[in-house]
Amino acid sequence: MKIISAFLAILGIAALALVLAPQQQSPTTELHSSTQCLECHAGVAAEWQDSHHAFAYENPEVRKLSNDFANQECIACHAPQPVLTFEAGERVLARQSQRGLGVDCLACHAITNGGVATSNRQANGDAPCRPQFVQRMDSVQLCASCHNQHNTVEQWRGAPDNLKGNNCLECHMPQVFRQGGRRGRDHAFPASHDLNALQSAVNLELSWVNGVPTATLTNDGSGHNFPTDERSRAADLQVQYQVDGKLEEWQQLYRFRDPYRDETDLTNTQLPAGESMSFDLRADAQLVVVRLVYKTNPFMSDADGVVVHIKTLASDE
Amino acid sequence: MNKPLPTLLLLVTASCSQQADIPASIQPTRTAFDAVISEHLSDASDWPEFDIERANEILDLCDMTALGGTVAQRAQRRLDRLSSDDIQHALLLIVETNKLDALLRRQAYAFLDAQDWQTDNRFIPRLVLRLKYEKDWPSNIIIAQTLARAGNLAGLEAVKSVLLNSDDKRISDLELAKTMAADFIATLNDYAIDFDANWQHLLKLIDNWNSVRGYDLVATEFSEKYQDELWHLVAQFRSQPLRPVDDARFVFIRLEQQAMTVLATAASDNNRYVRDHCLQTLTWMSSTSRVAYDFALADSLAILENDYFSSVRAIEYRGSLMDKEQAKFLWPFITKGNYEQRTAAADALLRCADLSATAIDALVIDERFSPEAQCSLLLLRDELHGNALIPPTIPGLDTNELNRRLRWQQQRQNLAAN
Repeated sequence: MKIISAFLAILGIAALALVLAPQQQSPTTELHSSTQCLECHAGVAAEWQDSHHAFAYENPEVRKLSNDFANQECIACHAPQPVLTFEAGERVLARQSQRGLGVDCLACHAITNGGVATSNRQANGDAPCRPQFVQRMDSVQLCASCHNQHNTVEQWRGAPDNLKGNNCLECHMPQVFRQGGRRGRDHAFPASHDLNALQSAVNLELSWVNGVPTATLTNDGSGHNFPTDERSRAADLQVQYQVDGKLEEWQQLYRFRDPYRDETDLTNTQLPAGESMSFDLRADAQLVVVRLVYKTNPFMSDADGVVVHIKTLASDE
Repeated sequence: MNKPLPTLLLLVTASCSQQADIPASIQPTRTAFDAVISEHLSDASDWPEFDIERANEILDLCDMTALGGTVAQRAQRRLDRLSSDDIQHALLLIVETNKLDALLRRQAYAFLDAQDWQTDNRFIPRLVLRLKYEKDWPSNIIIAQTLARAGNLAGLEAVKSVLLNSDDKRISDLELAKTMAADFIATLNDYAIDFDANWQHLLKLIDNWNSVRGYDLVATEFSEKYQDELWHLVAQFRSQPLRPVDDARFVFIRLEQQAMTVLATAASDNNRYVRDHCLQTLTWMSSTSRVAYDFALADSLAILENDYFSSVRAIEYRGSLMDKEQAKFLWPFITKGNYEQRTAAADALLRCADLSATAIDALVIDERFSPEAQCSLLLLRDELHGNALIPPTIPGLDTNELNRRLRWQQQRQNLAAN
């Protein structure tokens, strides 16, 4: 009898505790750092850790271009507060803590109630981080908060339909399968630091047109200008001729770039999505070599840039 | 029957411990602010609406007045029929839009400088912005000169740069700019002929401007039109593209101290970006923004630092005042604030240095604080104990963030020493 009474008493206390406990499983401490995500999401975290989102605050190139963040306006996008605490598409503001983590998990996933957002429609809050489906996770608006500061999203809006895809994710967060066969979005964010992404963005052709060697660069693979971004990125089209059996020095044909706001004497020379640009070359060379060199900052030497495409054309072709 | 018991007991224990672990946080709330900027903006103060062709016509008229004779008289009569807004706007439009012709811009700046605008000074913010974009050095000297006559010494840094610069290969007309600068600093020093004395006087003026945002000889007239212009400028903080925001911040931190009262008032606007950037701009101005604090923020900060969107910036602003009296407002956020508030409060405490406080000794500085907050608190604790400065090694602390905190500490110590 005593055992039954004790059991009933405990049962009563337990029932009371169940009533008083939060309805959903909630984190026992505030979700304040992306390091808290790593334990359960090691696969995604590994992708992110190699991405330039993770490197956004510590990247030496960013440091140099922002004068070591003395230009504090840059911090907002390089160490942002959670994007989802702002209205859709509106710009973000800088966070105060853990800036070294750059554009971290919480920057894209944290929501105002302390849980996290996901594009998984089946999410029902049944994990410690309380994941829930948020439509904006699948929308350009999520990326726009930062990436439209340099007009990339506006460029995308004006791009031909066949290049636009559904949103930014199609190219920059393609579907991947992780350990155990789980499907998800690639958190490495392939873009300008990824040679495959660069090569698929534009196409370089070198051919004879009316007896003149002609180089044509076509932006037929990206849903925005090439290179997108203001100030930082530049793509140089260069040519080298072989005359009398000797290869001459590389010569600059054209620079594709949107100048920075205070470079008032320069104009925007980016190549819009779907458009081509052709260059007539010397017809007297035995061999013409054309290359496209991508630079993640405009002051970079040719040697430090990435050769995206290189084409050759002989006089007898 | 044995299995459910431990399970249920565990459940009870778990739910109880869950309650106990939730930190006693100050929960910021979403405050309903007024539309402060809208209340102050007036369409009547808009600049005239005309295009660059009309602006060029007005510049031609200004040009003709120098020719003498009937032509000059006729041009002057036509200019007299224009309002000062028309003339100012025309000349500013030329320098803002003509990117390629430096000589033409120089001419427009010179005409602007030739007028007596001391009491009709709404052009000041637009001209201050030219210090950001104007690349022609002689033009920068004229800008500095015009601003100084209106009580603003923000252009003196450019004058100093010109006089210090010896790289004449990269800067066109550097010699001309140097001559103009030397003449200008003589006028600032009562037309003295000793360059060294004028140079020392220039440095003194710059120092004084940077610390009190004032010019002893000429006070900027805080006219109604000028204030309207400032309200239009602060409205740029609403912008989604950052450039207008950055432009406004650039200008505000180069205006005289009374302009800060506009920032202090607008810091309670109903737009979260406006609140954020007002506080941020004042924070950048550091202890020189005391005018703003005394004008309005001493009262409104208590509301702002409990607002969901503005709390962190408000706490950060308190720190920038570098005043130990602020420490009492910061401690509640150290002990009960959320993660971001704790970081802002720890940083602010480092900047204010409540050196009489012993509370920091009782504080457990662990991972409940961000790496940045730990850094600030450890630096302060060491200072409190008179220990030699050894930058703390904290996992996850970015070098840039460590250096910022060392700089803050140094700035505060320098301020105290002076």
